[in-house]
Amino acid sequence: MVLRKSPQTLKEMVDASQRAYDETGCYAGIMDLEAKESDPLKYELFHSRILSSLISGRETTRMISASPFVREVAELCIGIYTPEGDNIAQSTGIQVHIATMGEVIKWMINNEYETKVGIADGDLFCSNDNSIAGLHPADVYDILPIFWKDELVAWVCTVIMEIDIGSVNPPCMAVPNVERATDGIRICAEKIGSRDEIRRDFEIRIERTIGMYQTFLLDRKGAVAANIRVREETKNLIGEFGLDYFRQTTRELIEDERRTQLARIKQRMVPGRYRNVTAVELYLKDQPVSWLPGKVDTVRLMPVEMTVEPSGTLSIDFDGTGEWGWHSMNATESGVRGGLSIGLVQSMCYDGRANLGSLLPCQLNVPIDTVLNPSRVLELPTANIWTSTIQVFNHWLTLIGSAFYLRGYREEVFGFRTSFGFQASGYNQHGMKGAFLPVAIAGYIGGCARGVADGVDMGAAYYTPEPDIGNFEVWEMFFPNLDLYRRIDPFSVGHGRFRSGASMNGIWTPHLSQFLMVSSAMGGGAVRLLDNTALFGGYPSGRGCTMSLSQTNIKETVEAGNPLVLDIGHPAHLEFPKHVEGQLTVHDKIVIPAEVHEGDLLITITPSGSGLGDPLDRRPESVLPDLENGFTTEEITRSIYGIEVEFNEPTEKWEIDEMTTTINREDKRKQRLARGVPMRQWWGNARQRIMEKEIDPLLKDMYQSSMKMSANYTQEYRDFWALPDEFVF
Amino acid sequence: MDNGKETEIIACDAGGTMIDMVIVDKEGNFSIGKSATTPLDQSVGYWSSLCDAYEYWKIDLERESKDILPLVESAVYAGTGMLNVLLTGTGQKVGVITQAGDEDVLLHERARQSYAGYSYQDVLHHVTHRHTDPIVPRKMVKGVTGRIDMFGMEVFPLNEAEVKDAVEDLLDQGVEAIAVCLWYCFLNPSHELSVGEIAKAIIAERRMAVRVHLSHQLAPIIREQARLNTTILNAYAAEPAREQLVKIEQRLHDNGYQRPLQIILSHGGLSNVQYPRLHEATFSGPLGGLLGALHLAPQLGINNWVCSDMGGTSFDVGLITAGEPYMLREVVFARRFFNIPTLSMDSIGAGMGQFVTVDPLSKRPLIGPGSAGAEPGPVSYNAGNEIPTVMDCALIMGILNPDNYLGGKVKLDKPKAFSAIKEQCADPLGVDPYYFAEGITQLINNTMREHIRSVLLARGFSPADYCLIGYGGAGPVHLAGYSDGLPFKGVATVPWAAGFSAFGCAAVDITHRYQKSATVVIPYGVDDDFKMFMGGMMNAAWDELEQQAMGDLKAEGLPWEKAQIKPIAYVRYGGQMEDLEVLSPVNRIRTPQDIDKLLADFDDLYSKVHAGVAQYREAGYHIFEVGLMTVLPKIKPKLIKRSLEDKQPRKDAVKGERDVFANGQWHTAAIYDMDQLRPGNAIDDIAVIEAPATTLFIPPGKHVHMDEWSLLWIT
Repeated sequence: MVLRKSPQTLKEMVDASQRAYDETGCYAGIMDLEAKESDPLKYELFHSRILSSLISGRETTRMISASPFVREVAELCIGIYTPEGDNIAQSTGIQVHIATMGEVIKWMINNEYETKVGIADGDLFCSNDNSIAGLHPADVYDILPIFWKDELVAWVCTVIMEIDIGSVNPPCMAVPNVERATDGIRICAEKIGSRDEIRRDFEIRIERTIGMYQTFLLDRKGAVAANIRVREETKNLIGEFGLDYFRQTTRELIEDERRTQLARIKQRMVPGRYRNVTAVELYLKDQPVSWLPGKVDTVRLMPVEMTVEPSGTLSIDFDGTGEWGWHSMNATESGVRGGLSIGLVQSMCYDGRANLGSLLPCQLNVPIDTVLNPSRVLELPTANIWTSTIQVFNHWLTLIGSAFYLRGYREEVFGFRTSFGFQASGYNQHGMKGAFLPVAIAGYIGGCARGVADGVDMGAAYYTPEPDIGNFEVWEMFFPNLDLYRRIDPFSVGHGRFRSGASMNGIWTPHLSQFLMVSSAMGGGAVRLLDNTALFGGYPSGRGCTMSLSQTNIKETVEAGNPLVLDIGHPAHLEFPKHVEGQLTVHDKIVIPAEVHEGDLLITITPSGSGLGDPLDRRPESVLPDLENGFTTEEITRSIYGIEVEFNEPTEKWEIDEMTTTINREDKRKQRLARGVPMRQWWGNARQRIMEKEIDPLLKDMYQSSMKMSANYTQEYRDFWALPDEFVF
Repeated sequence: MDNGKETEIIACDAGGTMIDMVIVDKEGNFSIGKSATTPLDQSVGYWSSLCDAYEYWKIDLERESKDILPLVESAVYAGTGMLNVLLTGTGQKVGVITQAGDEDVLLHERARQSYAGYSYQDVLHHVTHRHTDPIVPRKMVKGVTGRIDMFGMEVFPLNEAEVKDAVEDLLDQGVEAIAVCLWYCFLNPSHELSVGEIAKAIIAERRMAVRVHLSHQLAPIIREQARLNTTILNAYAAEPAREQLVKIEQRLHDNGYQRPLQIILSHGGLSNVQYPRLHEATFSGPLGGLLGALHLAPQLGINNWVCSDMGGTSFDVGLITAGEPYMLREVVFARRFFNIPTLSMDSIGAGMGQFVTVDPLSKRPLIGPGSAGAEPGPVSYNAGNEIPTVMDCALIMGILNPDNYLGGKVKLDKPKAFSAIKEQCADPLGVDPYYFAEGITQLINNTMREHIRSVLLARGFSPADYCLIGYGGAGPVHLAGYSDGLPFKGVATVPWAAGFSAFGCAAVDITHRYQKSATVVIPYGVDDDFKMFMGGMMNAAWDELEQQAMGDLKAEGLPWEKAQIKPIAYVRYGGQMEDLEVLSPVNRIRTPQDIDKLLADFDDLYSKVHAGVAQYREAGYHIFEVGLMTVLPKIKPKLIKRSLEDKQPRKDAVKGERDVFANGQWHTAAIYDMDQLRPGNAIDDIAVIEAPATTLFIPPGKHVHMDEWSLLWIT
């Protein structure tokens, strides 16, 4: 086992730990779990102490923060790390950053901060540069070293998501960004304070750079206060258990978790190769952009292949992913690892022991220069890294679900999607310039169907196990808008034997702003391709999208004493334009910053998760509460589920016509058989289209980009379709 | 005994399964009674528990009530009656009128309610998340057009025709109560008031007895979802709960009691059964211990207490600092958020009934999160549960007496508990069962210790400034363990630990709290004129609350002139989401310096709570809410100071010896009868002190002595 031997440098420790792992396959070369095996209850006690200090620190940040993201939604997390930057434990909250915060520490060490910048007790470091490590630049890391006497024995890091980071197209997840400078402020693992105090010159820079500087700075103060609290608790722990025990056990916890994760994978998943495919898309060809090479439409394929080995290791391969581009959907390898972390915690490692060890049995292959890992990342925007990352990991969860289901862990099957609608910038109702993320419904997404039940309604999101949105009255205190509508969307549901949860749709209007403009947030639901897949005959969910109705007559309507009817209805047969006049725009691409005014309606239709199993196998009685509560409609019940229902006026209850239902379902099964064609015939027809290149130019470009990036993908594509060796699009 | 005939106070803590009763005579003597809760008619269980308490004084209350109860000065009730109405779905048929466009509010509810109250593991384990079932069916939720904005300005006028249609439709559906919650009504209640007037007119016209509940009158503070839940709770559960309370009061009156039954409110106040905001009594039972410590504080001259209550499934911690408890304005129970001012008790899942297992994959010993509850209970109850619990561990270690549990009413099967622990836990880990049991005890003690530490640290306080008191049936078993390592000034329990919550309920002043939203913004470095302008706004809000308080007290027949008035401000730095409650150092803002004093108090409190680095005066100060508290003293139980006797307990206090496993080895521990210990007695080294409803364990190296107030102090 590798322990610090004075005067070993942090860099030497990082190298020695990695070398030991490479040689032994065990974290830091730990072959025996001495602390655990000699006294398992003391070991458990030690971990419990670490965890409680992190949870308590997280509460401190929530109380100090100025951000509704922190107070209402709790978008933050605190972790503790070894001197080498390896995660030991973390609080509840956004579990994305298990490894990524540690990667910033490693980057500092590898860039000789120990000698060239200096790392002393009480120094405060800050970073939001995701080209170093992290998800999107909105995630700001505050990092504090923990010293015992003169020795650096650990680090504590807090992450908080900031709404405003000074982006050119605010706020923090701007889709239209086409080069790096447009993303906003970059704090590159910078020392921002010492002796536990944030430097005044750093505060001044923030005050003069970011519109909502108060929020940003109060969040820093909250994070630093929490870090200090965890540091002091850690020192108490060392005083109590001894430094040697601390050094040994913090590392053992990582190795222990690595072994447990191997055991979990072996226990819950059938070995084998699992495959899925998705794509990321962005349409900027007809939009004004600040960097002309970005003025193109882009679709990039992202294959996801998971291999589960009998030994319990798991690899995820993104070979075949298309090339990077001048758009905000570029990811980083670190960001992809963050996406994996959050999925692992919610699917397998939820027992409070998740740390770096959870990730060690999971190997990633993120090919260089793909949209998931561009080498030119210092030139590229990455504000919407979540769009591509969540997309691939949504699909990875489907693979995990298959593997669980096959092993018999049906009750563990689940999945999430994520979508935001609009984001805005301009002046708020107090006359202050700032950035706004009207997330009214972002925490209200329906989860994918579970293996034994419907998905959770209005309460799932890939990026956090704790989706929430808080209270609109609080959000409206900060954003110049009025939320006018938030209703369950029966058309969002992914159907199946078990349906997905339903999502919410929302409508808001600008209010008391001198000037306000909106743009799409995180894709804004503006997708054209099918962006979710379902298990075992279930249906994918409906697509999300955004719309706007400008120059409306809502004020005149209500002042004339008429009710304001904003029901959205089916996306293809909208209801509200029948009741409100205005100019309707359906944003089937994205919204580039556009000015909006009071009375304009901004509409977000949110997708849900996918269903599981054949809808014709759904238990008929289960649609009755769905009908009563608006999770489905009579039309959906009949056309998709084959269930005949009737509303009994005297009892005011829905009733099932069992006879007709049986006949309907039998008819539907026969129609399916009649529609079907033999596989060979389908393959032949499709091959003919490929040979003649009768597909959309954007899709040809998508396939060509993947072929350019991967010889394996190219070969497999040609082999599957029996294409000539020289075939290209 | 004659002392029972001079009963001064009757207090009860009605829980979900048991009603605990404390009766106190004029000399301060106590007796504790217990009886099963009777949900259909709580007066039955109440009376049974009261009779049980008198039995210990050898009084047959059924026969002698007409002699005894007329002399009683105060009968106080705390309980979870309203919560039970909520949980059992036995409330009124309620209709809701809300903002147009938000009619699905009870279905989508706050997303966090799909995992509220979950363990750490289940919060992360998303597949377990579920929404709560709505109290009000979707078809009984009606939206009305109209909108007030974040400044309290009307944006869209209220559509009165829609209101009429909504009310008519709800009445047609047979609702028994209507709950109204419109956004920002706490800033401008005009729309809610109009809805209320229209609804009342239609109800009167149709000659129906349907009550209308307006959210701004019940919980006039921001956060619409918690406010709506609160309004529905009042509409749904208040009347059924009130009926139960009236039955209890009637039963007392029928048997000679001549005063009103008094109800403990969640914020520690007291009111009568006609109190209009009865939802404030929803969560009063678990707070009794905190109220008990509040009562002890001035008599013992100790103003800083950490109150800890260990039960079967949870461990609750509350703080009293400088004689004052902490208040929450948004609380979660039954997996829902409510805007109810509530004394802060931080709970974690750590109880004697929690399951103890070993994870087959990681070989980790695990405690909980599940619990065996009272039924089937631990393995040793021999009632169907086969999974060991924390209590089974204490039993095999010799701490609990298998023949004297609950005074011998329940016989514990020690061999069965041992086998379960050995086979399911110790053998898979390859360790000795007793070592395992002690390890589990240390682990749960650590969990509770860390919880106490985090509750203190979250507010910036140190254990060195506090005394810890442990109570609840299970608390004294673990008290020495979970307090170990925290440098408290003192660690204590009371012989009546199992009835301490009920005791606390007897010791409450008549306190009412009022809150109101405000918009007070004080930028950094602002001039005196501006401060006085803002001060005027605060004064106006306090004046309004004072008028409301005066009206309430007079309506209850209480002397307003004797009430103490305490103005409160909720202060934050500009832009912050969270504020701190600051008791105003002045009654009203009369000079700019008064504002400075108030803000300085906030700065001090803030730096204590959140560390100096977090201060940000340059951001200015915001006060979005003010409050007011009125306090009227009432009669409370006296704590008897007795003269100290010998250090050596009397012979009849010693019950024998038993082997107890501690620190990795067996010890011979002396067993004492708690009822026979006297002030001045002290016990050194390992010992078990047994009482009918609790057991105090003194581990090796620890000492205990009883002081002149009969408190048992562990050192």
